Amino acid sequence: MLFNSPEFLLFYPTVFIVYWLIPNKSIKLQNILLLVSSYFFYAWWDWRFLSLIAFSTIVDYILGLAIADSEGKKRFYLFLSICTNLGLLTVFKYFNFFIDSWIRAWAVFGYEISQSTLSIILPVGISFYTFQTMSYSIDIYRKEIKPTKDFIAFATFVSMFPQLVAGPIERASNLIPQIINKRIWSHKKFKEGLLQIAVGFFRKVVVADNIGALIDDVYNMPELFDSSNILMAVVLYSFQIYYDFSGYSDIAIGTAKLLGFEFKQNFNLPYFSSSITEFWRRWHISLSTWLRDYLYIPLGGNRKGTVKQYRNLFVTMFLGGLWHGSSWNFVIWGSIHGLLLAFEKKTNWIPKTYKFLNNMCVFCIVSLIWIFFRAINFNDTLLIFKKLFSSNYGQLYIGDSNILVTTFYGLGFALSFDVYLFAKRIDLENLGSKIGTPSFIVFMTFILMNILMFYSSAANFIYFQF
Amino acid sequence: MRNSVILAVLLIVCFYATDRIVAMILSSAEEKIFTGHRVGKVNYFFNVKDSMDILIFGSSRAVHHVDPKTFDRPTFNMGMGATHLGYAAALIATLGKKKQIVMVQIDYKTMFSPTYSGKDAIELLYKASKNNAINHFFDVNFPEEKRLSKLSRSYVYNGRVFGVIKNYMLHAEEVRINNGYEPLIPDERQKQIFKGMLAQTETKTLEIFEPIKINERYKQFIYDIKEVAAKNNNLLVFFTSPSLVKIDNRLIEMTTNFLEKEGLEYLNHTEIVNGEDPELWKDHTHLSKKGATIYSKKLASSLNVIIDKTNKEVN
Repeated sequence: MLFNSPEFLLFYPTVFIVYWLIPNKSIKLQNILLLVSSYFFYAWWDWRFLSLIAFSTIVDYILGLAIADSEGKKRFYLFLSICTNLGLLTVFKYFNFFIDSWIRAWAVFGYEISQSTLSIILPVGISFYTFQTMSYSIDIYRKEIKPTKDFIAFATFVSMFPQLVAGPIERASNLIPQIINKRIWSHKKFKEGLLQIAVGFFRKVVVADNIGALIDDVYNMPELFDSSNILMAVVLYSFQIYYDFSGYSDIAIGTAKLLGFEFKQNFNLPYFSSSITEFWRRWHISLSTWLRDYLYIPLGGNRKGTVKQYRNLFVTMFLGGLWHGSSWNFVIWGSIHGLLLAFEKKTNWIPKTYKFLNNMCVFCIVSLIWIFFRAINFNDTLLIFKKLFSSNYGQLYIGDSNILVTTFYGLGFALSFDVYLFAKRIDLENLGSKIGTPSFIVFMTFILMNILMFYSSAANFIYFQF
Repeated sequence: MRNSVILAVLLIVCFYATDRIVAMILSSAEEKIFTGHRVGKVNYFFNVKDSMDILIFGSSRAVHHVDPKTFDRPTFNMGMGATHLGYAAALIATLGKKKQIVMVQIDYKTMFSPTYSGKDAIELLYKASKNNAINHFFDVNFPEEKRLSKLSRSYVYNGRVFGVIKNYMLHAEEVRINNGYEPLIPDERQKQIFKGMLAQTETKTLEIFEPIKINERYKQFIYDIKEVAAKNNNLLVFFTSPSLVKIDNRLIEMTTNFLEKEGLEYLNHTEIVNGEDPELWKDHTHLSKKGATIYSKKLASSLNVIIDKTNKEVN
């Protein structure tokens, strides 16, 4: 089920009302409701893949208890947990990619190997919930958390619908205690959650989807467009992916907040970064901190000398790129970020305070690297770069003027809003409770009216494919 | 929780009032617009539809391909870009004049698409409160959208707010000059792009979804259009305008058989404009003005043959 679908507009209020009307706010009943509704939410897309979530849940529940109970075999049980989760990911996400890459590699040396890929559907959200369950097992192994014996609570942690299909990747240390303990209604959370949901929808359906309608043709057929259009598409895509994914995260965090849960912040105005390092502290925070805690630091982090630190940064970002999808374009995208992070460390090019020029440079660099992320294949990527750095700049293709005006209206508003948050140093997560009731009502009405009048029914959430 | 409930109620009241006011303003502005492609053209159509002998409906491949001036009787091209048969069916439902000629452009791509939902018609939702036939069309085909439009009145103006404002203030693009026809005149750059496309790609072929079958919603729209035409004693002609995209013969055969079985006239003109001359085409699916002029003459003459045949049958 998509957040921006009519089904969700019926589903969520129903769950919300029933959830808070449960007698005595019984945690057990609330958790059962959350679990059932989360499975229903997922099954709306494809019920067959519920078995994967259930399998991952059961395995990690049992192995989590086993890791905590057996001192001698805890390493083995952790290994089993990681193998199970990575195994699921490998089969469902990377199998065809590895086979294809293997065949291509042999083809370079003149050997032809028959193609034997499988028709595998990528289960929505698999990258997110497998990472979530893996971190649970690792945290128990490291004795940072204790395993929960409450199976319903654990299953709810794995499958909670606001973050099930595209994150944020929540940690057990943050979420499980909230699932186990009583949730109390809070007017502050109500305001904050409502406002964040509304802003999330605006970012997604007004800004990101309208940009998509404008630039999809350019990225799908770059050979047809001149440098001006390519440049416009490259810049706009940076905003599309940001508002698409941060919009999704806002809706996820807001809906969870209305149910009494506090998720961690996932985006913190990343395009106001003065360095690539800062960008990764602000972009997809739940993934970058996951990679930091479970990959970069175990590899040695910055503790084993500078050369190894650069290597660790590169490896982390290389795998971070691969996490996004089974394509060499993602791998290159991640690797370039890894190299840039290492370069920044080497040159100490990380300002401690905000610097406008650095900010602009970082935006330009990040936008250029997004080309690898968005282009359909490597040949298109090269073509886009070639056109960007050629002198074939001409008149901008305007296309549908309605979409163009709507896009720039939405983008202008969203950017102004971000500038306000940045200047005032306010997190969107807390904004709802920081403004008075009249301002809250006016702002919410304005946002809702804009959503209704300018939404584009174009696209899926970009991060669903990961 | 009491504070939250009060806040929610206040928010609903404020939103409800704002929604009604904004919709009222947009509605009164929209009614006065007769310029521009999306809003003004529809108003202009409602004004002239009963004075026309021939009405043409369809997607961008109708609006850019058929010049009404080529026909020897009053003709209006009510084609609309980025719409399909759903949009046409909603407009055709409003026809009431007897013995008109109604020409509907159909595309194999949409007709055989397993996912076509007809939601292009939603574009006309804002007319539901002003036109009984369109209102009924939405009651039958899209009751959910209809209910949503009752909850929020401004929702029906989604995607056209700036168009309404622009045309209300500036009166841009006159619809009446070309009777709804919008010729495509590619500039040198576009011609170069198209030449590049032709040089790069092999013959484009329409993707086929197995098992091949006509989309049920599409079929229903054809039945709806047939019913209106029968009621008004109209001559109904379906046609497919030229394209460089190669169509699988099975699709053409199924379409022809289906329409023949329904007793409907059909002109398959997919390959009637030969050659990949960049002067005739803007891209693989759209003719340039020059190509459209040639095609319009062929369409007009094919229509005359059908009219003669029908007259003979009547006599």
